[in-house]
Amino acid sequence: MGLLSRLFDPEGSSGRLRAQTQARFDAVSQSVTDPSGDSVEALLRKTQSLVLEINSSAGDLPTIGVVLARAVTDTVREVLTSGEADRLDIGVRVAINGTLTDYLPGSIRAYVGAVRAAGADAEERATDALVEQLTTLRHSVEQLAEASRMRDMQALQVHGRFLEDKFGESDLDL
Amino acid sequence: MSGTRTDLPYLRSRRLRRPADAAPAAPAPAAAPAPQTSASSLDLSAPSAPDPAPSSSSLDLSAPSAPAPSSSPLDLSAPVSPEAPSTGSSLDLGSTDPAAPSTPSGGTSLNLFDDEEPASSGGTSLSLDAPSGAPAPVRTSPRGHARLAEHDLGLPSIRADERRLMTEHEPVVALTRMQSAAGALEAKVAVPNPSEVVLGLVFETSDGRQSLVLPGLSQQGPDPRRPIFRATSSGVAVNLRRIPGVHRLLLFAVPTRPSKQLPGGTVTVTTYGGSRLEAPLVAGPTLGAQALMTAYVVEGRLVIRAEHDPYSGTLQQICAAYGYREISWRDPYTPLV
Amino acid sequence: MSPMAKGANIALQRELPNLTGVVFGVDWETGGERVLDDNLTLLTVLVGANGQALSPQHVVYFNQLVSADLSTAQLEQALGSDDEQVEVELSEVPDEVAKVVFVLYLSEGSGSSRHLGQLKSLVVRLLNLDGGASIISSVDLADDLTSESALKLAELYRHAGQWKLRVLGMGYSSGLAGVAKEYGVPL
Repeated sequence: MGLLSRLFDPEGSSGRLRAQTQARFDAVSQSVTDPSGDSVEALLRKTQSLVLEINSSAGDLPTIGVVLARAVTDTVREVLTSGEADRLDIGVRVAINGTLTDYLPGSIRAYVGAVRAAGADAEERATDALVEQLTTLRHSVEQLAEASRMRDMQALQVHGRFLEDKFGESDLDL
Repeated sequence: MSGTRTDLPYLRSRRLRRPADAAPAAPAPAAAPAPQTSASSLDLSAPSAPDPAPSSSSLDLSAPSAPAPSSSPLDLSAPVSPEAPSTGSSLDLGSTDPAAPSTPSGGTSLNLFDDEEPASSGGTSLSLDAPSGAPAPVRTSPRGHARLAEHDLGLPSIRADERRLMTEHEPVVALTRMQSAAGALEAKVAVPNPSEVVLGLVFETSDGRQSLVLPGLSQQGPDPRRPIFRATSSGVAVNLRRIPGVHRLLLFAVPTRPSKQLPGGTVTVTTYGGSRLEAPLVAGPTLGAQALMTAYVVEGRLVIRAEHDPYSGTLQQICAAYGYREISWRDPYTPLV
Repeated sequence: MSPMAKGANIALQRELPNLTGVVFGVDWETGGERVLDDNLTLLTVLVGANGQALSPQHVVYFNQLVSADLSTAQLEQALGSDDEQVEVELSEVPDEVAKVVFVLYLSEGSGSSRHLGQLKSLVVRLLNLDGGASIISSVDLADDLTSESALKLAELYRHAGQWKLRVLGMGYSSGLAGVAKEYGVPL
């Protein structure tokens, strides 16, 4: 089941094909022993799951959304596999968890919601907003990782709060 | 007097009919708030983490469709890469100053240039392309020539004649508009015994048609009289003169041996200017097909990614995994084309 | 006015003092040769005093229909008998642009080899952007073509503060690569 179908069709009226595709995701999902975990290993699994979901939903997303969403997962993966990964501050891991499970899917969900609500007329503006949000996410993850490397607690707090304020549990400004 | 062009206004409205091209290059720094979506109708609280395997019948499909490669399918043993991923310099959010992003703006979107320009009322959208204070970009000329969309993707580019290994840590290249439009994009595979593998591609055109090119089954598509995609003697090719008609594509490998073993080797994609992208073809068992590279057309530019997908699948599963679901199948290995 | 021969030029604003923009049209006849039809490509380059394109964004063609300065725009679908048309707002062309060169080339991505010598006819013409009146047409540029894969059709250039048009008809044997090399367009 793709990202969109899960978000908009949570009951999963998916057909046989999607069930087959789901099996690919299950292989990853089942190995996430702690779904809410923010250990580096758990986050890497969530990254992989999100990649599968983005790819599977690519037919329903603007190409720029797919490309930039994958750039975010690339950046997250780089952070999680860097030499500093085992010393990543908890604040970074929490922010990455939020990015993977909430902020990035939320941006895409808001885009689709905007286009579905207002039609093609909204597409241009919604695309601008999606690009802005995904680019911001990517940049913020980089900045968080840098702050973690520098042990800059103030910057960590600021960037983490920025992400939470901008993306967390709020209606995205589309 | 001949050739009076009384219908120019109509013509202009047709010129940029593709939405991607009609978009402005840069979002206005102080764009009006986007239309209010009925966000409350969305299940924003829905967990976005991968759900555990549902107790549906999909479970019994997990075995055949998720082969267990000898290595970890999650690739958790990825090599360490100390360098930061490359990003475009234009991603400057003006926020090395940690104070900047700390100022929320109505709890929705933020203006990261707060220090220079207070957030305007109504919620200022963040502009990554036009620093605040800069004049708003001109969108149209006096006669109505509209600026092309050109969002900064912040992705690596490649020069003519440059060779690039697309590793797991640097898997993406964004071609320029010219690289995306000149000559053909040609994909080939280099293996010890070329008869052991064929390359194919599944594609979606800008008008929403999905189909495949697979040597021996479908030599070209979508229209055999005017193909965009075609099988070549050693791979597949995309006629980039037709790039406006391309939405996205997936390059895949199909092993030809009954064992479905994929030989090890290298996949190469070359441009007219001699840029050369390379990705490894990893030897090993498959379920019938292996995704290799994707390409998405973003505002006239091809963004090519080596997928390094740890999973194989039947061709049908591979197509579905990348969102190509508008294809009919004779069996899981054979599309109806 | 009789058709312009190769090498001939015309001072546009001497003929039309109020001219602010032109439409450059190309009309070719391939005799029904589909591969030729599908791969003929018009490329317009805004060239600086150094003979190079001002930037990659100052090259106008099917995948980049408008120049960065918005002065020059190719129509997605030409009107009338022309196969391709480009509008140039002369008053909007940046001062750094010494000339606007129009090139026709055969795209080489179809897997089938063709050359411009197969063209039955090739005529360029200039219209007034304001109103669409015809200003000038060329002679048939196909007459002297043989194995060329690209052709400089014509150029708009500045002379003594005025715009002039010169018909060229100069061929390349190296296709788009040769054109890109001459004008410094990265491939």
